[in-house]
Amino acid sequence: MIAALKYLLPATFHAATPILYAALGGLLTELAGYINIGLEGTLLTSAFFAVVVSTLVGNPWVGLMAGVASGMLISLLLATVLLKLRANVVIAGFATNLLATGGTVFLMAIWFGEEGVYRSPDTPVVPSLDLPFVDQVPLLGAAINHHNLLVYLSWLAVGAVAFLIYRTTWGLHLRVTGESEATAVSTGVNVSKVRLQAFLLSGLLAGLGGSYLSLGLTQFFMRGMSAGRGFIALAAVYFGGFNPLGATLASLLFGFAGGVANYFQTMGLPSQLLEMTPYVLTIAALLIYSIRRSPKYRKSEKETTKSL
Amino acid sequence: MTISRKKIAEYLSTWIGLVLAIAVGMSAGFIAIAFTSSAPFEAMRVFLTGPFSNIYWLGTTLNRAIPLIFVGLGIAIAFKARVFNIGAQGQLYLGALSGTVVGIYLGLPPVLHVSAVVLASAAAGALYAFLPGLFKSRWGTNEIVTTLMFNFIASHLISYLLANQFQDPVASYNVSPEIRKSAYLPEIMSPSPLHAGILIALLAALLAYLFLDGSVFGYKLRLSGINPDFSRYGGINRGLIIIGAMTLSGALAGIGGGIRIIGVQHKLTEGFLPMVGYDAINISLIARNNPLGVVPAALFFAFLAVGGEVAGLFTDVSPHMVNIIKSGIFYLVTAQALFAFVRKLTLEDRRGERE
Amino acid sequence: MDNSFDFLLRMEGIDKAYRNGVTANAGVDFRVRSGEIHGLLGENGAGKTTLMKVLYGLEEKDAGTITFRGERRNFSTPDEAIRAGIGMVHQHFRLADGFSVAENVVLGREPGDGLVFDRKGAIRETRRLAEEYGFEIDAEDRVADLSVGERQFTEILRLLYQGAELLILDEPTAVLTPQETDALVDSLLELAEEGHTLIFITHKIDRALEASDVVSVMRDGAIVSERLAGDVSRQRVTELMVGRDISLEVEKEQASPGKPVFTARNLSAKSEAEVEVVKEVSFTLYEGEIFGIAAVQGNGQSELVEVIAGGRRRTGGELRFRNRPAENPDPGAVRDLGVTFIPEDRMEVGLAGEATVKENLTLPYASAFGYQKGGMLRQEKLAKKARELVDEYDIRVSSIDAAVKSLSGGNAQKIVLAREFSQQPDLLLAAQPTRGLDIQTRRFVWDKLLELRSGGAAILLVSSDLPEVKALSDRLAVMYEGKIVTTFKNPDEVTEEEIGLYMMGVKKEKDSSREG
Repeated sequence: MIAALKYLLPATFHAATPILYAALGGLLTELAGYINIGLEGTLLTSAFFAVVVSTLVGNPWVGLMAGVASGMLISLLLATVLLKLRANVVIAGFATNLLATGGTVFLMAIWFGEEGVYRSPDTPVVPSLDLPFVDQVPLLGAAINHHNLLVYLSWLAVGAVAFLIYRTTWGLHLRVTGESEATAVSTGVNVSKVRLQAFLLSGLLAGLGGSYLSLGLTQFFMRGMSAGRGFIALAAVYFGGFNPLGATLASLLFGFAGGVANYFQTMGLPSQLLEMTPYVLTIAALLIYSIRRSPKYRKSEKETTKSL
Repeated sequence: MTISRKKIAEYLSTWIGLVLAIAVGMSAGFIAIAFTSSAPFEAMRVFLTGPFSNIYWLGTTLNRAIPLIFVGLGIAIAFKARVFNIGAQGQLYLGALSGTVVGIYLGLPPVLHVSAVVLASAAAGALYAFLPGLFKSRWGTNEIVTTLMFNFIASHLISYLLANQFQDPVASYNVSPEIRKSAYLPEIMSPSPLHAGILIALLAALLAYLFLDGSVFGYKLRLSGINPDFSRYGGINRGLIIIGAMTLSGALAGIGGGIRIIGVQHKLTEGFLPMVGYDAINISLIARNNPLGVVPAALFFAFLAVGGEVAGLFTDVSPHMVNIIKSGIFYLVTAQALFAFVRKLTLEDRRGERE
Repeated sequence: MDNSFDFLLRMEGIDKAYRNGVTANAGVDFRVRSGEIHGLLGENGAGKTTLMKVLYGLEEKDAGTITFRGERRNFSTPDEAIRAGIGMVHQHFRLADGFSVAENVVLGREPGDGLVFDRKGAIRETRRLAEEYGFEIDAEDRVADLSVGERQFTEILRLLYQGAELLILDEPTAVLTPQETDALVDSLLELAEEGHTLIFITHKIDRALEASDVVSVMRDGAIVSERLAGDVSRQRVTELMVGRDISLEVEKEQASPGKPVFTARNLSAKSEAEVEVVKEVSFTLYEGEIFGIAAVQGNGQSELVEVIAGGRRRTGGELRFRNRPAENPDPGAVRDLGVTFIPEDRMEVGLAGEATVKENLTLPYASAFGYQKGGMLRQEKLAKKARELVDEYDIRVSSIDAAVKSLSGGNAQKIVLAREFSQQPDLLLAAQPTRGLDIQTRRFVWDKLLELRSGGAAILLVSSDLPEVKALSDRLAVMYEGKIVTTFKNPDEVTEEEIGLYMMGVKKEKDSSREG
């Protein structure tokens, strides 16, 4: 049992970190009023460019920057199609994922002649950090020490995003835009700009998450590497109740489930049912939420489903 | 009979908008080819003509279109009702699972066996779609998120079953046992792999069109989708429409899965038709959710897929370029601003009054 | 006396016509002096809101000039108007419910600069303003927890925070209780004392005269009178608002009402904003009779009709169709009881724009016996019916398979009328049935209504068009602030002015819950 925990606790953070980054990004766009289905594609894109650039340039920090930049770029594309061309947010999100899936493998094939995995023995990765004194804390100490820098950064990111949302003027504008566009517009808030910025930040955060996948958790890029984490992140946003703390706890929970699933796999036990956890929990949460909501006032369906 | 300018503008804007979306997508693909192939024109030629180059490829293309047609029809019905079934992928999986089980364990003469498979697939898909439909109808639960979640649950479920309960004891990877020969769909265009499912698919498209256009429920479904508030006052029960639309949609998606099993694969594997559920959304949107339009749109996507494969085999182009093309279309196919822009161009006089 | 410098605002020769042909403003001359409380009165459709929208930059005028603080101005966006010192509180509040009063007030022009939101500063500023103007709301309260009156104060505070000198309020008392209205009037006086100028749009004559220094009356798109509030009587104002040159000629046989078809007893309902808008209304509808409800927009009549049609839940009281109580009927059940409904918002609720003329016309027949066979529609029969209706109602279409959204507004409305009239209902609910129609079509509708009436149908006619509802009704009720304030058993013997007085809340029955 202790052995299991010794494996699981750190593993939780390994699994939760990319989810957490993406979830924070998803939270921002959700507060602006948009579900970011493209998180999956953003993770994938940044994972690809992070490891490729790091290997080619020989510097993990440049690689990290490339990962983040590519994440932001693909989010910019999504935001533009959404805001300027008024495409449907769900469809454009899937388009993003399709572009990422096809684009990353395509580039991998033509640049490196690989169809499945891009790997190099000299890939410089983002280093891990050794925190002083932490090891002295029993059990927990080992769980939270020796993690990759990006893992620790994600904890800071939670605080930063929470601060951004609740303590800044921009965050106020963001939340009002999502809750009542009419109010935002009538007080002069530039709604389009706020939304665009939310998507860019989403790309930045997911970019960090994707970079962690290929420069921290592993040292390669594999096709389809994001493995549904972008969708688990969405589940975390919904299950967590659309706030940073909830998203974080949900990400940890789902990360833990993922860790247990991995553990089971190594033990030869079936893991798939565990992997369903985030999705089942989210459906349950959504159901409970909609059952409790008062049936008296429901926005006209026509308004909420206009462009499909 | 005069046709008003407004009407022309509407008509044109829809079509031109579509053509633009497809053109941009295709261009993205061609640009990808141009930049990466050592013989771009040859590569493009192979890509565009590959699917027709011999009977084998032609049959394969038509085969690819079959599940796309079924699922596309399901999506069209749902979208017409203003119900956003993103869960076709999961419904497809469950249909395939159910069809495989019936194909393996039931012993029936061929025609009955095939019918049993189709029915089982339809039922499984329908049931799996019924749940999110019920949630939306009864409590207003957002069907986009629930159906998306259900997709992943389905995929993990299949993985689990293939790895644990259901696997072929002989094979080295996760695959189900083979279905009995009595459940096979006959090939109709040897030596190509094209099977009779294409005929069923075309029939389904016709039936779907007749359903939407000519049946009482189909009419109510469409009107409810066009204007739920108006239809409500007109006595149409929106809740029933939602459940009906989802169930039908799931049934068709399920059949798509089942037919693929008995027509081509004859067993269930991991990574079964991984993109069809989402491609079908693209297809239905291109077809403006019209069942008759789903067929050519599905053929187009099948053509793209096979063209990419042929190019991948015989030129230095990666078949993944096809996903880039599809994404280009997907980005633009709902771009309202695009259509509005075209509409504005064709409509100089703003008034466009009828008389 | 006409020293133009005294006028903070002058609008001269304002014309504004909407794209659907309706002329909202025709040569409007409107002027407001600095420090004045100016009431802008008029019936629905008189053009008051349009005039203010033109000023505030929400609508573009077709002609005319605006002079603000002595300078020619033309605001093309509300933002420009705000920066010039003009603020407007709309009928539907622009507030974010989940946020505090302070956050709503400072939104868009937050105090201090930089990244962090100066919450303390926002609260301080808001408190200061609230105190200065005597508004009793706390800056830290969540808007969602506030009453309607307090929300309105929040909107006003925002305007003051934005530095508005001229404040425009659009129907501010529409959703307030009498006590809240008192508080509002007090605050308006306070604002004027502090040097602000106020324009408020209303149809409530009493309050207007009570609170204003000057009132301007608008009718049919023009200002017909500008008077000092103290110098004019309520009767005179009503006359000005309501008076018409053309009287309506309608041939009507004597009514012979039959059995009761529908009864409402103490019916109550709430609006989307959870405000009670229908307050214990009771009445009975009889066969062969037109029961009219005259009311100005926003007095609960729309919601009342929606409840009867089954589209809105009632919060109290009961409904009886042919003496059988109906619990919470859905529209389908109501239709099955022989009721048809002409909704107020024809385009959004009465039609499906993307569907064809035929599909829109024949919706009630789709499930009917004889129009379907084995679950499939009998298209030829439906087409035949559609063509019949198109002919009978003179709907101008090139084909019944044309999409409704390609038709003109008037034509599209006729589809709704055709569909609802032709079903030979036992009870017809008609909400503003002739709004937006030309005179020929209106006469047609009146004829049809009378025809149905002769045939024994009960008709509930809700209309803010006074001549129409007076001429057509056999019995006429007036609704004001959610209640039926009076019912005239012989509308022919009452003057329009008298009805108007009740509609504007000037006159009130002593016992206002009397069943008609």
